[in-house]
Amino acid sequence: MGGQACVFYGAAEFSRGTDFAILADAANLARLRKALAELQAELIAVPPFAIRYLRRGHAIHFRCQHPEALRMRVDVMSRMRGVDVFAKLWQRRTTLQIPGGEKCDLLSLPDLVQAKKTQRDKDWPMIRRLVEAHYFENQRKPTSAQIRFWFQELRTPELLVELAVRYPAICRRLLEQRPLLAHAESAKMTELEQALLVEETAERQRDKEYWVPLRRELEKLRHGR
Amino acid sequence: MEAKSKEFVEKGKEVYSQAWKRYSFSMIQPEELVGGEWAEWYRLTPAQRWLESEKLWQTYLALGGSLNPEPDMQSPFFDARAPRSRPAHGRTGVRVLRRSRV
Repeated sequence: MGGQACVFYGAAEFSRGTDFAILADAANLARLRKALAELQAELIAVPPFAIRYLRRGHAIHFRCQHPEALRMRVDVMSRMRGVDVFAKLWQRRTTLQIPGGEKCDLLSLPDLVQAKKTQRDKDWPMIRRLVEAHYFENQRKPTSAQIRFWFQELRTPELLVELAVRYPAICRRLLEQRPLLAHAESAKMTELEQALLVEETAERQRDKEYWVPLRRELEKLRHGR
Repeated sequence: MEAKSKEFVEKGKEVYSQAWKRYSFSMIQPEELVGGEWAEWYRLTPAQRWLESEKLWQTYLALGGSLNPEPDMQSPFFDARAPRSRPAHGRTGVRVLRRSRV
């Protein structure tokens, strides 16, 4: 769900770790333990590798010691802020066959975009690239779901204005959901840029607040080691 | 009569196609927004992007790049007190994104 997924969908991230969104149940964790053992992955930092931490929204961190993946970080999560439950993510996943025949299941683009709405600077240009790439790839014959997705997630003022010109009725319908579309509709670029920034700041603040109790829990675990 | 209506339909198709060409030409193109290199990257298929990224990895590893991630101080998981290994060569890890085709 991390850098590799971003590359696939059109952004570019040189990520040295691998992030997995997984189903947190006993059988799946047993499979994961087996895979991690093959990678000679060691648990690093806190929290411990246990279902209850995954279900609360923590990430579990590992470092591989296998010579072919030496020191590679593997992070595992099951629940993310603002992102649907795993069963829905799985239904919407994209399956990719990579050279060599292996199959990779990636978060769908809309789910990846939600997962990237964090407090970190680097995630926001990534979201912009991801949605831009999708827009340019599908702008000629978009489905109504794609048009809705762009209205909800585009972070590029010029493209939002273009979209509002092309689909004014849909734009109006989604105004309540995303008020900054009013600036796109009237092609007020400065106001639109400002509103996008406000939207980003508010989302980052929500992410910080979401993490307050989880960070507290992590601190406790660190002190208890 | 049938030939006439066929001709009419064909003419209509042509008019539509030309109008669409003019309209799509007026739509924002990736180059105008993000420059040539990113536009090129956007135009690759997902599988092509994956392969380009693989090539980049091979180069990175061949140059002695480490898989050890750099600390992400904005991450909620960041622990300033956690011990972390340093690259044996003493230099910082390569974090360059090749922008052409990437």
